[in-house]
Amino acid sequence: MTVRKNQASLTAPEKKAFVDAVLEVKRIGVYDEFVLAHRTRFSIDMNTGVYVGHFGPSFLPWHRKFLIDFENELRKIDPSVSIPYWDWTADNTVGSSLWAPDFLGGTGRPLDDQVMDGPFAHSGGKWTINVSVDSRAFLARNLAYRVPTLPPRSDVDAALAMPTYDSPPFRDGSAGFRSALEGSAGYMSMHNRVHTWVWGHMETSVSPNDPVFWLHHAFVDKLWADWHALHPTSAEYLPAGGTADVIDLNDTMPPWPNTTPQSMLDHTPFYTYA
Amino acid sequence: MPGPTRRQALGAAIGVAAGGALVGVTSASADTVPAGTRSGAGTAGRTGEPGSFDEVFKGRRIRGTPAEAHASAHAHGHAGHGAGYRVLIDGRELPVMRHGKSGWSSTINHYERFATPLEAARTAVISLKGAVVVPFDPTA
Ligand SMILES: [Cu+2]
Repeated sequence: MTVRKNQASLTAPEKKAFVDAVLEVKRIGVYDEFVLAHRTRFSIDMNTGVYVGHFGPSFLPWHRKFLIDFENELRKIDPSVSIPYWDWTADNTVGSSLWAPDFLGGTGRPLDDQVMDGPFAHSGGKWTINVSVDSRAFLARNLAYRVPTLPPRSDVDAALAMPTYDSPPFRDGSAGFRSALEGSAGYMSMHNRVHTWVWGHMETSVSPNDPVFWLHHAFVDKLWADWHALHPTSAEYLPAGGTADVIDLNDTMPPWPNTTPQSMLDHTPFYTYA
Repeated sequence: MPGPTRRQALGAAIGVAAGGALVGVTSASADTVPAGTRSGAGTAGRTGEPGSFDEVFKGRRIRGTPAEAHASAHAHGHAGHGAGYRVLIDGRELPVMRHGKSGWSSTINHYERFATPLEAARTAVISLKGAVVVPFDPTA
Protein backbone atom coordinates (compact mmCIF):
# COMPACT_ATOMS: atom_id res chain seq x y z
CA MET A 1 0.00 0.00 0.00
CA THR A 2 1.28 3.41 -0.92
CA VAL A 3 1.28 5.89 1.94
CA ARG A 4 2.12 9.51 1.25
CA LYS A 5 3.75 11.23 4.22
CA ASN A 6 4.50 14.78 5.25
CA GLN A 7 8.01 15.53 3.98
CA ALA A 8 8.88 17.04 7.38
CA SER A 9 8.47 13.67 9.07
CA LEU A 10 10.57 11.61 6.65
CA THR A 11 13.57 9.78 8.05
CA ALA A 12 17.00 10.26 6.47
CA PRO A 13 16.78 6.84 4.73
CA GLU A 14 13.31 7.72 3.39
CA LYS A 15 14.61 10.99 1.95
CA LYS A 16 17.52 9.21 0.34
CA ALA A 17 15.25 6.53 -1.15
CA PHE A 18 12.97 9.16 -2.66
CA VAL A 19 15.86 11.19 -4.08
CA ASP A 20 17.56 8.11 -5.50
CA ALA A 21 14.36 6.95 -7.20
CA VAL A 22 13.81 10.40 -8.74
CA LEU A 23 17.40 10.48 -10.01
CA GLU A 24 17.00 7.03 -11.55
CA VAL A 25 13.72 7.90 -13.27
CA LYS A 26 15.57 10.94 -14.63
CA ARG A 27 18.57 8.87 -15.76
CA ILE A 28 16.45 6.47 -17.80
CA GLY A 29 14.69 9.34 -19.58
CA VAL A 30 11.22 8.80 -18.14
CA TYR A 31 11.29 11.91 -15.94
CA ASP A 32 11.56 14.21 -18.93
CA GLU A 33 8.47 12.65 -20.49
CA PHE A 34 6.51 14.02 -17.55
CA VAL A 35 8.00 17.48 -18.01
CA LEU A 36 7.12 17.32 -21.70
CA ALA A 37 3.57 16.21 -20.94
CA HIS A 38 3.08 19.16 -18.57
CA ARG A 39 4.45 21.67 -21.07
CA THR A 40 2.34 20.20 -23.85
CA ARG A 41 -0.81 20.27 -21.73
CA PHE A 42 -0.26 23.93 -20.86
CA SER A 43 0.32 24.77 -24.49
CA ILE A 44 -2.78 22.98 -25.73
CA ASP A 45 -4.94 24.40 -22.97
CA MET A 46 -3.83 27.92 -23.84
CA ASN A 47 -4.30 27.47 -27.55
CA THR A 48 -7.65 25.72 -27.57
CA GLY A 49 -9.30 27.48 -24.64
CA VAL A 50 -10.36 24.07 -23.30
CA TYR A 51 -8.63 24.13 -19.93
CA VAL A 52 -7.84 20.56 -18.96
CA GLY A 53 -4.72 20.62 -16.77
CA HIS A 54 -5.09 24.10 -15.30
CA PHE A 55 -7.54 26.98 -14.85
CA GLY A 56 -10.61 24.75 -14.81
CA PRO A 57 -12.32 22.14 -12.62
CA SER A 58 -10.18 19.27 -13.94
CA PHE A 59 -7.05 20.93 -12.48
CA LEU A 60 -7.38 18.64 -9.45
CA PRO A 61 -8.19 15.24 -11.07
CA TRP A 62 -5.68 15.89 -13.90
CA HIS A 63 -2.86 16.45 -11.44
CA ARG A 64 -4.03 13.54 -9.25
CA LYS A 65 -3.59 11.22 -12.25
CA PHE A 66 -0.31 12.89 -13.24
CA LEU A 67 1.11 12.24 -9.75
CA ILE A 68 -0.17 8.64 -9.65
CA ASP A 69 1.63 7.93 -12.92
CA PHE A 70 4.84 9.51 -11.65
CA GLU A 71 4.61 7.69 -8.33
CA ASN A 72 4.22 4.40 -10.20
CA GLU A 73 7.45 5.13 -12.08
CA LEU A 74 9.24 5.79 -8.78
CA ARG A 75 7.89 2.54 -7.34
CA LYS A 76 9.18 0.57 -10.30
CA ILE A 77 12.61 1.69 -9.13
CA ASP A 78 11.95 1.28 -5.39
CA PRO A 79 8.60 -0.11 -4.16
CA SER A 80 9.10 1.50 -0.77
CA VAL A 81 8.93 5.02 -2.20
CA SER A 82 5.90 7.33 -2.33
CA ILE A 83 5.55 11.04 -3.07
CA PRO A 84 5.88 13.08 0.13
CA TYR A 85 3.77 16.19 0.51
CA TRP A 86 4.98 19.66 1.42
CA ASP A 87 2.62 21.54 3.73
CA TRP A 88 3.76 25.01 2.70
CA THR A 89 1.55 26.61 5.35
CA ALA A 90 3.74 25.01 8.05
CA ASP A 91 7.20 24.59 6.48
CA ASN A 92 7.16 28.07 5.08
CA THR A 93 10.71 29.40 5.27
CA VAL A 94 13.85 29.02 3.18
CA GLY A 95 15.38 27.39 6.28
CA SER A 96 13.01 24.41 6.13
CA SER A 97 14.64 20.98 6.08
CA LEU A 98 12.95 20.51 2.72
CA TRP A 99 15.68 22.71 1.20
CA ALA A 100 18.62 21.03 2.94
CA PRO A 101 21.43 19.42 0.90
CA ASP A 102 20.26 15.91 1.89
CA PHE A 103 16.89 16.47 0.27
CA LEU A 104 15.99 19.00 -2.43
CA GLY A 105 18.87 21.44 -2.05
CA GLY A 106 18.45 25.14 -1.46
CA THR A 107 17.87 28.38 -3.29
CA GLY A 108 19.82 29.47 -6.37
CA ARG A 109 22.90 31.69 -6.44
CA PRO A 110 22.35 35.38 -7.26
CA LEU A 111 24.21 35.32 -10.57
CA ASP A 112 21.80 33.09 -12.49
CA ASP A 113 19.48 31.49 -9.90
CA GLN A 114 21.38 28.21 -10.30
CA VAL A 115 20.84 25.69 -7.50
CA MET A 116 24.33 24.87 -6.20
CA ASP A 117 23.79 22.20 -3.54
CA GLY A 118 21.84 19.01 -3.04
CA PRO A 119 21.26 16.07 -5.39
CA PHE A 120 19.72 18.21 -8.12
CA ALA A 121 22.56 20.71 -8.51
CA HIS A 122 23.76 20.68 -12.11
CA SER A 123 27.35 20.30 -10.99
CA GLY A 124 26.47 16.88 -9.57
CA GLY A 125 26.03 15.64 -13.12
CA LYS A 126 22.67 13.98 -12.56
CA TRP A 127 20.23 16.79 -13.22
CA THR A 128 20.34 18.47 -16.61
CA ILE A 129 17.27 20.35 -17.80
CA ASN A 130 16.40 18.83 -21.18
CA VAL A 131 12.77 19.78 -21.73
CA SER A 132 12.58 23.54 -21.39
CA VAL A 133 11.42 26.85 -22.76
CA ASP A 134 14.75 28.64 -22.31
CA SER A 135 18.48 27.97 -22.43
CA ARG A 136 19.04 27.18 -18.75
CA ALA A 137 20.49 23.65 -18.48
CA PHE A 138 20.65 23.89 -14.66
CA LEU A 139 17.83 23.80 -12.13
CA ALA A 140 16.94 27.38 -11.13
CA ARG A 141 15.29 28.71 -7.97
CA ASN A 142 15.06 31.96 -6.09
CA LEU A 143 13.09 31.18 -2.96
CA ALA A 144 10.95 34.01 -1.55
CA TYR A 145 12.23 36.47 -4.15
CA ARG A 146 9.17 37.35 -6.18
CA VAL A 147 6.70 37.00 -3.35
CA PRO A 148 8.09 37.00 0.22
CA THR A 149 5.63 34.69 1.94
CA LEU A 150 3.82 31.45 1.24
CA PRO A 151 0.03 31.22 1.60
CA PRO A 152 -1.01 31.24 5.27
CA ARG A 153 -3.08 28.48 6.84
CA SER A 154 -6.00 30.91 7.11
CA ASP A 155 -6.18 31.07 3.31
CA VAL A 156 -6.27 27.30 3.10
CA ASP A 157 -8.94 27.09 5.78
CA ALA A 158 -11.06 29.67 3.99
CA ALA A 159 -10.88 27.61 0.80
CA LEU A 160 -11.63 24.38 2.65
CA ALA A 161 -14.73 25.99 4.17
CA MET A 162 -16.32 26.55 0.76
CA PRO A 163 -19.08 23.97 0.27
CA THR A 164 -19.06 24.07 -3.55
CA TYR A 165 -16.37 22.38 -5.62
CA ASP A 166 -16.54 24.74 -8.60
CA SER A 167 -19.13 26.87 -10.36
CA PRO A 168 -19.85 28.50 -13.73
CA PRO A 169 -18.04 29.61 -15.80
CA PHE A 170 -15.61 26.94 -14.48
CA ARG A 171 -12.53 29.07 -15.21
CA ASP A 172 -10.23 31.62 -13.61
CA GLY A 173 -12.10 33.34 -10.84
CA SER A 174 -15.02 30.93 -10.60
CA ALA A 175 -16.55 30.82 -7.13
CA GLY A 176 -15.74 27.68 -5.16
CA PHE A 177 -13.07 25.50 -3.66
CA ARG A 178 -11.16 24.53 -6.82
CA SER A 179 -10.54 28.05 -8.04
CA ALA A 180 -9.67 29.31 -4.54
CA LEU A 181 -7.16 26.50 -4.07
CA GLU A 182 -5.63 26.84 -7.52
CA GLY A 183 -5.24 30.54 -6.93
CA SER A 184 -6.54 31.60 -10.30
CA ALA A 185 -9.01 33.96 -8.63
CA GLY A 186 -6.37 36.32 -7.33
CA TYR A 187 -2.95 37.70 -8.05
CA MET A 188 -0.38 35.16 -6.85
CA SER A 189 -2.53 33.31 -4.37
CA MET A 190 -2.58 29.74 -3.07
CA HIS A 191 -1.28 27.03 -5.49
CA ASN A 192 -0.10 29.62 -8.01
CA ARG A 193 1.65 31.62 -5.29
CA VAL A 194 3.68 28.60 -4.23
CA HIS A 195 5.00 28.18 -7.77
CA THR A 196 5.90 31.86 -7.78
CA TRP A 197 7.53 31.78 -4.32
CA VAL A 198 9.93 29.04 -5.47
CA TRP A 199 10.59 30.92 -8.74
CA GLY A 200 13.07 29.59 -11.33
CA HIS A 201 11.74 26.55 -13.14
CA MET A 202 8.78 26.24 -10.79
CA GLU A 203 7.38 29.44 -12.30
CA THR A 204 7.55 28.19 -15.90
CA SER A 205 5.42 25.86 -17.99
CA VAL A 206 8.13 23.23 -17.40
CA SER A 207 7.72 23.41 -13.62
CA PRO A 208 8.08 19.62 -13.08
CA ASN A 209 11.79 20.12 -13.80
CA ASP A 210 12.00 21.01 -10.10
CA PRO A 211 11.30 17.91 -7.98
CA VAL A 212 9.48 20.11 -5.46
CA PHE A 213 6.68 20.19 -8.04
CA TRP A 214 5.57 16.72 -6.90
CA LEU A 215 5.65 17.59 -3.19
CA HIS A 216 3.71 20.79 -3.82
CA HIS A 217 1.04 19.05 -5.87
CA ALA A 218 0.81 16.17 -3.39
CA PHE A 219 -0.22 18.72 -0.75
CA VAL A 220 -2.71 20.35 -3.12
CA ASP A 221 -4.08 16.85 -3.77
CA LYS A 222 -4.31 16.15 -0.05
CA LEU A 223 -6.28 19.36 0.42
CA TRP A 224 -8.80 18.10 -2.13
CA ALA A 225 -9.20 14.94 -0.06
CA ASP A 226 -9.44 17.03 3.13
CA TRP A 227 -12.09 19.22 1.52
CA HIS A 228 -14.22 16.22 0.63
CA ALA A 229 -13.99 14.87 4.16
CA LEU A 230 -15.23 18.25 5.44
CA HIS A 231 -18.14 18.33 2.97
CA PRO A 232 -19.26 14.72 2.56
CA THR A 233 -22.56 15.72 0.99
CA SER A 234 -21.07 18.14 -1.57
CA ALA A 235 -20.51 16.92 -5.13
CA GLU A 236 -16.87 15.90 -5.21
CA TYR A 237 -16.58 17.30 -8.70
CA LEU A 238 -18.54 19.69 -10.90
CA PRO A 239 -19.82 20.11 -13.59
CA ALA A 240 -21.69 16.85 -13.90
CA GLY A 241 -22.29 17.01 -17.64
CA GLY A 242 -23.12 18.89 -20.82
CA THR A 243 -20.71 21.78 -20.37
CA ALA A 244 -19.02 23.09 -23.52
CA ASP A 245 -15.22 23.51 -23.40
CA VAL A 246 -15.01 22.10 -19.87
CA ILE A 247 -14.13 18.60 -18.66
CA ASP A 248 -17.34 17.23 -17.17
CA LEU A 249 -17.40 14.49 -14.54
CA ASN A 250 -17.42 11.64 -17.06
CA ASP A 251 -15.39 13.25 -19.88
CA THR A 252 -11.97 11.77 -20.60
CA MET A 253 -8.99 13.92 -19.68
CA PRO A 254 -6.26 13.99 -22.33
CA PRO A 255 -3.60 12.71 -22.71
CA TRP A 256 -5.06 9.63 -21.05
CA PRO A 257 -7.55 7.67 -23.13
CA ASN A 258 -9.65 6.30 -20.25
CA THR A 259 -9.21 8.67 -17.31
CA THR A 260 -12.19 10.75 -16.22
CA PRO A 261 -12.62 12.99 -13.18
CA GLN A 262 -15.04 10.35 -11.89
CA SER A 263 -12.27 7.74 -11.97
CA MET A 264 -10.04 10.01 -9.86
CA LEU A 265 -12.50 10.95 -7.10
CA ASP A 266 -11.42 8.21 -4.72
CA HIS A 267 -7.67 8.26 -4.17
CA THR A 268 -7.63 5.40 -1.67
CA PRO A 269 -7.24 2.60 -4.26
CA PHE A 270 -3.96 4.30 -5.24
CA TYR A 271 -2.56 5.70 -1.98
CA THR A 272 -3.53 7.05 1.39
CA TYR A 273 -2.24 10.03 3.37
CA ALA A 274 -0.47 9.60 6.68
CA MET B 1 -1.07 2.46 -15.76
CA PRO B 2 1.42 3.78 -18.27
CA GLY B 3 2.63 7.32 -17.91
CA PRO B 4 1.79 9.93 -20.51
CA THR B 5 4.10 8.87 -23.27
CA ARG B 6 6.08 11.09 -25.54
CA ARG B 7 4.06 9.71 -28.42
CA GLN B 8 0.74 10.61 -26.80
CA ALA B 9 1.92 14.08 -25.95
CA LEU B 10 3.22 14.68 -29.45
CA GLY B 11 0.07 13.36 -31.06
CA ALA B 12 -2.05 15.75 -29.10
CA ALA B 13 0.28 18.63 -29.80
CA ILE B 14 0.30 18.00 -33.52
CA GLY B 15 -3.46 17.81 -33.52
CA VAL B 16 -3.61 21.34 -32.22
CA ALA B 17 -0.92 22.56 -34.57
CA ALA B 18 -3.11 21.54 -37.47
CA GLY B 19 -6.19 23.18 -36.00
CA GLY B 20 -5.27 26.79 -36.58
CA ALA B 21 -8.90 27.82 -36.63
CA LEU B 22 -9.20 27.09 -32.94
CA VAL B 23 -6.82 29.91 -32.19
CA GLY B 24 -9.09 32.42 -33.83
CA VAL B 25 -12.10 31.11 -31.94
CA THR B 26 -10.28 31.40 -28.65
CA SER B 27 -9.15 34.94 -29.29
CA ALA B 28 -12.56 36.07 -30.41
CA SER B 29 -14.36 34.59 -27.42
CA ALA B 30 -11.88 35.69 -24.79
CA ASP B 31 -12.98 38.41 -22.47
CA THR B 32 -11.24 41.64 -23.19
CA VAL B 33 -8.72 43.09 -20.78
CA PRO B 34 -8.27 46.81 -20.32
CA ALA B 35 -6.04 48.37 -22.94
CA GLY B 36 -2.37 48.12 -22.08
CA THR B 37 -1.88 51.35 -20.26
CA ARG B 38 1.62 50.37 -19.21
CA SER B 39 2.71 49.95 -22.81
CA GLY B 40 2.60 53.73 -22.85
CA ALA B 41 5.03 54.18 -25.70
CA GLY B 42 3.09 51.76 -27.85
CA THR B 43 0.59 52.49 -30.51
CA ALA B 44 -3.06 52.04 -29.65
CA GLY B 45 -4.51 48.79 -30.88
CA ARG B 46 -8.13 48.04 -31.57
CA THR B 47 -10.49 48.37 -28.65
CA GLY B 48 -9.41 46.31 -25.66
CA GLU B 49 -6.16 45.20 -27.27
CA PRO B 50 -2.71 46.17 -26.03
CA GLY B 51 -0.60 48.20 -28.44
CA SER B 52 2.93 47.58 -29.66
CA PHE B 53 6.08 48.19 -27.62
CA ASP B 54 9.79 48.25 -28.34
CA GLU B 55 12.27 49.03 -25.58
CA VAL B 56 15.52 47.98 -23.96
CA PHE B 57 14.84 46.60 -20.48
CA LYS B 58 17.75 45.56 -18.26
CA GLY B 59 19.92 45.32 -21.34
CA ARG B 60 17.56 43.14 -23.33
CA ARG B 61 15.57 44.32 -26.31
CA ILE B 62 11.91 43.47 -25.89
CA ARG B 63 9.32 43.99 -28.58
CA GLY B 64 5.62 43.26 -28.75
CA THR B 65 3.09 43.47 -31.55
CA PRO B 66 -0.55 42.50 -31.90
CA ALA B 67 -0.77 39.29 -33.88
CA GLU B 68 -2.77 40.87 -36.72
CA ALA B 69 0.50 42.00 -38.21
CA HIS B 70 1.92 38.48 -38.23
CA ALA B 71 -1.14 36.30 -38.09
CA SER B 72 -0.71 33.85 -40.92
CA ALA B 73 3.05 33.40 -40.95
CA HIS B 74 3.11 33.12 -37.22
CA ALA B 75 0.35 30.56 -36.92
CA HIS B 76 2.10 28.31 -39.39
CA GLY B 77 5.51 28.68 -37.91
CA HIS B 78 4.75 28.25 -34.24
CA ALA B 79 1.84 25.88 -33.82
CA GLY B 80 -0.52 28.68 -32.93
CA HIS B 81 1.48 29.88 -29.96
CA GLY B 82 1.16 33.47 -28.90
CA ALA B 83 -2.37 33.73 -30.21
CA GLY B 84 -3.42 37.36 -30.23
CA TYR B 85 -0.06 38.87 -29.50
CA ARG B 86 3.63 38.30 -30.29
CA VAL B 87 6.55 39.07 -27.96
CA LEU B 88 10.27 38.92 -28.80
CA ILE B 89 13.23 39.04 -26.40
CA ASP B 90 16.42 39.82 -28.30
CA GLY B 91 14.63 38.61 -31.41
CA ARG B 92 13.57 35.27 -29.93
CA GLU B 93 9.94 34.52 -29.42
CA LEU B 94 8.51 34.42 -25.92
CA PRO B 95 5.16 32.59 -26.11
CA VAL B 96 2.50 34.63 -24.31
CA MET B 97 -1.12 33.82 -23.73
CA ARG B 98 -4.22 35.59 -22.50
CA HIS B 99 -6.32 34.23 -19.66
CA GLY B 100 -9.73 35.73 -20.18
CA LYS B 101 -10.35 38.63 -17.82
CA SER B 102 -7.43 37.94 -15.54
CA GLY B 103 -4.65 39.01 -17.86
CA TRP B 104 -1.59 37.59 -19.56
CA SER B 105 1.12 35.07 -18.78
CA SER B 106 4.11 33.62 -20.64
CA THR B 107 5.86 30.27 -20.70
CA ILE B 108 8.52 31.74 -18.39
CA ASN B 109 6.02 33.09 -15.84
CA HIS B 110 3.11 30.74 -16.17
CA TYR B 111 1.58 31.06 -12.71
CA GLU B 112 1.33 34.85 -12.64
CA ARG B 113 -1.00 37.21 -14.44
CA PHE B 114 0.11 40.43 -16.05
CA ALA B 115 -2.04 43.35 -17.10
CA THR B 116 -0.17 43.66 -20.39
CA PRO B 117 2.22 41.68 -22.61
CA LEU B 118 4.86 44.34 -21.82
CA GLU B 119 4.75 43.38 -18.15
CA ALA B 120 5.01 39.71 -19.10
CA ALA B 121 8.07 40.48 -21.25
CA ARG B 122 9.80 42.53 -18.55
CA THR B 123 9.20 39.86 -15.93
CA ALA B 124 10.57 37.18 -18.24
CA VAL B 125 13.76 39.23 -18.61
CA ILE B 126 14.06 39.39 -14.81
CA SER B 127 13.49 35.63 -14.58
CA LEU B 128 15.95 34.65 -17.30
CA LYS B 129 18.92 36.55 -15.83
CA GLY B 130 20.68 36.47 -19.18
CA ALA B 131 19.42 33.11 -20.46
CA VAL B 132 17.56 33.15 -23.76
CA VAL B 133 14.15 31.82 -24.64
CA VAL B 134 14.21 28.89 -27.04
CA PRO B 135 11.61 28.25 -29.73
CA PHE B 136 8.75 26.08 -28.63
CA ASP B 137 8.35 23.29 -31.13
CA PRO B 138 6.07 20.47 -30.03
CA THR B 139 7.37 18.25 -32.82
CA ALA B 140 11.02 18.62 -31.78
CU1 LIG C 1 1.15 23.49 -9.94
